[in-house]
Parts: sequence; structure tokens; C-alpha cells
Amino acid sequence: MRKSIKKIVSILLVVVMFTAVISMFGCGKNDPAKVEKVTLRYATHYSTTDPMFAVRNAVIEKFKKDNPNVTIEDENMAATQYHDKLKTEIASDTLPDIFTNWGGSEVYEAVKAKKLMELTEVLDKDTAFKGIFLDGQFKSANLAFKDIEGLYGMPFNNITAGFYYNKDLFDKAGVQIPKTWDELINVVKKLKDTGTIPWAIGGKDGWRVQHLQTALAYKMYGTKLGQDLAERKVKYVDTTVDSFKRIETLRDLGAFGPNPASVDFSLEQNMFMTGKAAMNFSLNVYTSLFESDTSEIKGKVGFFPMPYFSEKPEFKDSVYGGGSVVYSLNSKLTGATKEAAIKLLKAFCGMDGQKEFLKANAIIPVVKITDKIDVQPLQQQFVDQLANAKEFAGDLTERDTLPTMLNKLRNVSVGLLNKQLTAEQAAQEMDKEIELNK
Amino acid sequence: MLNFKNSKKIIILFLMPALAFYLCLEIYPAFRGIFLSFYKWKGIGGSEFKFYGLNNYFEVFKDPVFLLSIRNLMRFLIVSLITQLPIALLIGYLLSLGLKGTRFFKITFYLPMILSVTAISLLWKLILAANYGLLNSILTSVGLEGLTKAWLTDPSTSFNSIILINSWIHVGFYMVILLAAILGIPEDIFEALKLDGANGVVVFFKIIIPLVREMIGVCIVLIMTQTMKTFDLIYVLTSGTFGPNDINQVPIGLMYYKSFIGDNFGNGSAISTLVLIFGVTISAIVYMKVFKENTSN
Repeated sequence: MRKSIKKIVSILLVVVMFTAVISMFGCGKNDPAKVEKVTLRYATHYSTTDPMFAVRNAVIEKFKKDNPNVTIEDENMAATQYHDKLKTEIASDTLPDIFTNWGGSEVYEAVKAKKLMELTEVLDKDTAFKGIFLDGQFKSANLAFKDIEGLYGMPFNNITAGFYYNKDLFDKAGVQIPKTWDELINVVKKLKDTGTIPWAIGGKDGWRVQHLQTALAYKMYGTKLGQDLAERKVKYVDTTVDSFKRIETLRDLGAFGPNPASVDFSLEQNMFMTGKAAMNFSLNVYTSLFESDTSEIKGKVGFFPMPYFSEKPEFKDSVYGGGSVVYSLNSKLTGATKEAAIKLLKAFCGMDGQKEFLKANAIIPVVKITDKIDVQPLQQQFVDQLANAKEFAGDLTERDTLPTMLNKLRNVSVGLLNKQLTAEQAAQEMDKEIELNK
Repeated sequence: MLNFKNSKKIIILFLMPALAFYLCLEIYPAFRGIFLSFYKWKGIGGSEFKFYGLNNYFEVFKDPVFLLSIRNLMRFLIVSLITQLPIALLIGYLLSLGLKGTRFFKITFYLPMILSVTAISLLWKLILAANYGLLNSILTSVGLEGLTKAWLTDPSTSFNSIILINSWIHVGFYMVILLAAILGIPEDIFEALKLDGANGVVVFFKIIIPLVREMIGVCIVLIMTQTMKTFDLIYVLTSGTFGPNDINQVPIGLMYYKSFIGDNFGNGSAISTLVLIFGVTISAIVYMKVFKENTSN
């Protein structure tokens, strides 16, 4: 009897032990702490002086803390180099897992070749996330691709450009904020008479002059011009000579100081921040930089929109701006890596991330923020400009499917500033580029 | 020492890794490039890939920027040859005389060669900057403000500045090659000339140049190949634009632009093929001119 009891107890002990071991294995499987380790290649384009850079780093740090299983390989470089890197990585099929880009023609071929992940599913699976975006945000031109359905970039920020000006230097010259082009020319002349460089522009970086050209073109022909040029309904030589001529006029007046084509973007900002130049036509993202402690003109900076042409009042509120940077994912991502990349994307484009960037006056958000967030008055004026615009659009070449058009526009704009081309020649070069690539 | 007859297999075995690298990284890409030049391809896997015949070549020759880049390249080649070769030969000759401080000058002239081209380019960018550059500051401080220029963006000085910086970097390299050749000339020839009362100029033109002729030929080929493939220097000096408005464009830069910015690998490959043909032809001519004549002499 004793023997059989012993036997039963032994069997029971063995059963209990096995059950315990098996349940331990089971526990391991369901333990949320034991998640798969993933590594994400994350690429962005911010210069270290960009106000977005610090916020971006803070968001990344928080993400790493919240997701200890995710290792982030951080690749950041200035925008000029980033454009080249992006194109090279598209061609060599080595795109990062998650990366910033500007949509449009630059990634058109990659989208066509299915290198970028289609993100509609990400929105549909998370309706709360989908619902936070501003109305019409997904219809932004940089997200629309000719002949291709779907969403290939999650909107991250809107931008717009306007004039920053030094109030002290304006007072010294006895000038008021110009509302029309003629008034602007008058302001330039008077500022020049005081010995100040009227307008800092970094003509060495093509995008600086191209932004100005595009803003002028929209004030002359409205934002539909970009669409018409992309669809080849109109020619550059018939529609853009005027805008190039205005830059010629400013150049010949000495508005940009000596050798503007050899001034790069950082020197441009430096000229304005040290009070050497009175105006700077630039993007909203630099408000916090100009109002920072390192700025010698802190507290003296004002804003005014690009003056309109009195002969074209119908385009008074046609503004250069709109959807800018988007976050895209590599289409090769699967499983846990894909999930982690989506999480990171939401950290930037979602409500929390957007609020952080707004608090730092670094972006015009893409989401509806109802909380009261104190934004610098200067930044608020940019936000209002975009909100009150009759129409707005990004780069003139944004809808063009020919990938070299943006670069060409930048090249000819610099060529014009550097007196290598006349306004007519600059426009002809644009048409020639289309002709060459037919 | 290994004897080829007895150790044939071992020698071949040791050569295999280098040969494999050479075939994979030099020969295959070159032929692949030639192959791609006959196709229309955007350089993205999955995109259209179709036979395009000679159309890439026709398109390239129709492009005014390509013609400008060829003109720039020719200028680059000629100025590089007429600056680098005589200077390198002259310095090499002077250093061969064993004057005081020879070691110091040898190292100094060679120094730019061992520095990174990117670092050197950034250094020159700061020296030549229009608004805060060292050169313009010096000119202004000595009362020559009228000579200040936007050296790297003014169309009249921009490309010349690049060519001269390139010559400054490489002259030390050719100096070392030519110095070695001069030092290889038997001493008794110089002694005999000394007894005949020949001066330095006679020695240089009548003895040095004819006797290092082969090495001069090697230097010509090296200068031309180096010049044809110069990319990094121009890229950094022009902040990646090869401009303003393409004024500093060279075929290799345009190949990069067409392929990676313009999504047109067909055009890009056509340009690289043309550069390859041009390089091989020029090298062959120099080889035949210098080495064959030398052999027959």
C-alpha cells in the first residue's frame, strides 16, 4: 500500500514538474516584456542649427525609452547632401527603413517601382490617428502622383515663406512694411541709401533663389501655374520670364549686396541675424532661430508677406507654401520591424510629436491641435498667412514628373543671380530641359 | 625567391584574389556600363528596361551641358599638363641636386597628396570665399581691393581656380616619380658633363629630359586619367552643384547628375562609356608616341 502511495506521489510530482515547466514556456511566449529586438535605419535632413533638429532628437530619445527593443541607426545630414543621398539610395535600392522626403518628383520613380510602402492601410487600421489630420492634408501636391493611387508619405509639416525684417533698420531708413511690389522696390532703395544690405539671400544654395522665384510666379499667375507647367499646357518662356525679370531688377538694384551667388545659406542667415542685412525672405521654420539668444536681432524681428503686384490683385493671396516634409517607409519592411517603423512614424506625425514641434515653433502642424499652445507671435503670423491664403502650393515643379526640373529651376535661378543668364534665357533653359527629356 | 617554373601553381594561387577583385570591381562594372548605355533605364530595380540602341548617345550629344562639360574637360587636361608636368620636373630636378633642406621640401610638396581631397577642398573653399575668404582679406589689407573676386562663383575665375587647386594637390606626386627617375640616371654621365663644362640648363634639357622621357610619358598618362576622373574636388568646392548653373561641369559630374538626379542611367552610362573611350584612346596615343619611339631609338 505504502509502495503504491509512494508511486502515485512520484507520478504526481513528475506531472506537476512537467506542467510547471510547460507553463513556464507558455509564460515566456505571452510575456509582453519579451518582444523581438529590431533595428531601424532612420534618415533625416536637418542641419544642426535647424530648430527642428533638437525636437527631433528629443522625440527619438523618448521613443527609445518607450521601446527598449528598438535600436535606431540614426542618419542625419544637411538637406543639400540629403537630396543626393536619397536619390542614390533609391537607385541602389538601399533606402532606409524610415526616412524624411519631400514627396513629388524626387520620389516619383521610387513610388512607381514600389520601393515606398503604401500607407493607406496604416491610416485605416488606426482611425483615431487618421482623424487628427487637417482637412485636405492628404491632397497636398507633394503626395499626389500622376497615374499612381495611394499614400506613400505621411505628412509631417506644412511650410510657408515670407519676409523677416529688422525693425530697427526699417526705422533707421524711415520705411514702412511694403504691401506692393513697387513699395518693396522703394524700401530696397531707401535701405541701400543707409548703407545696409537690403536683403540677405544665399544665392549659392539654389533653393534660396528658387523659393523667391516661385513665390513671385504665384503672385503673377496663381498657384495653378505649377499644374499647367507640369501638364505642359504652358511654356516656361511664356509664363516665368516676368518672375525671373523681377529677380534681375532686384539684383541690378543691389538689393542682395555684393556677390549674392557666392553667399551660402548659413552666411545669409548670419547676415540677417547680425543686423548686416535688413530683410530675409525665408521659411517659417526659422522664427525660433531669429528669436533665439544667439541672435543679435532678438526682439527686433517683424514679418510681412510677399508683396503683391498691383496689376495682378487677383493673386494677392496666392501663397508659396503647403505640405512639405513627409515620412516614408521602405516597402521591404515586414513583421516587427514594420510595426516599429510605423510606431516611429506616428511619434513624429501623430498628435504628441506635432505638439512638441509646435511648442518649439519649428513647424506649421499637419494635425488639428485644439489645445492652447503658446506660439511665438512671429511664427503665428506665418501660420495665419497659410490659414488665410486664397490658394497655396509648394515648389513650382512639385507636380512635374521629370525629376531634374527642380534642380534645373534652382540652377537657372542661381545663373540669373550670377549674371550668367538673362530672364529670357533662364526660362528658355527650363523649356530646353523638357525638350531634351521628351 | 620563388621560381616561376617550379612554383607556377602557388604564384597563380596568390594572384587569384587580386584578379578576382580586379575583374569584379573594375572590368565587370566597365562592361556593364557599356551594356547599360544601349538601354533606357531609370536605375531603379523594377522600372522599365528596354533596348534603346544608340539613342542615349544621340541624347547626350544634343545636351548643351554635355558639350560644355567636354570643353571644360579639354581645358582641364591641357592646363593640368602644362602646369603639373613642368613644375614637377623642375622641382624634381632641383631636389635631385641635393641642396640644403631637400628633405623638408620633398615632404612639403608631397603633403597635399596624403591629405583627404575633401579636407583640402574645404580648406580652399575657405581661402577663396568671396565674403570672408583669406585671399580676399589679404588683397584688401594690402590695398588691392580691386582684385578681390568671388573666385569660386565668378564665371571668369571659377573653373581656373579648380584646375589650379587640382594641380597644387597632384604636383608633388609627379615630382616624386620624376625625382626617382632623375636619381636613376648614372652618376658618370653628370661627371662627364661637368668635365665638359656643361651648365645646369644644358644638363636639364640635353640629359635629364631625354633620359626620363619614359617616366614623363607615364606622368602624362597618369595626369590625364586623374584629370578625367576628378569628381570629389569639384563636388565639394561647388557644394555639389558643379555650378553656378553648370559652369564647372565635367563629364564625370554630368554622368553622376544624369544617373542619380535625373534617374537616367542610360544617359549616364553613355557618358561614362564616352569618357572610357576617350581615356583609352588618349593613353594609347601617348603610349605609342613615347614608348614606341623610345624603343625604336
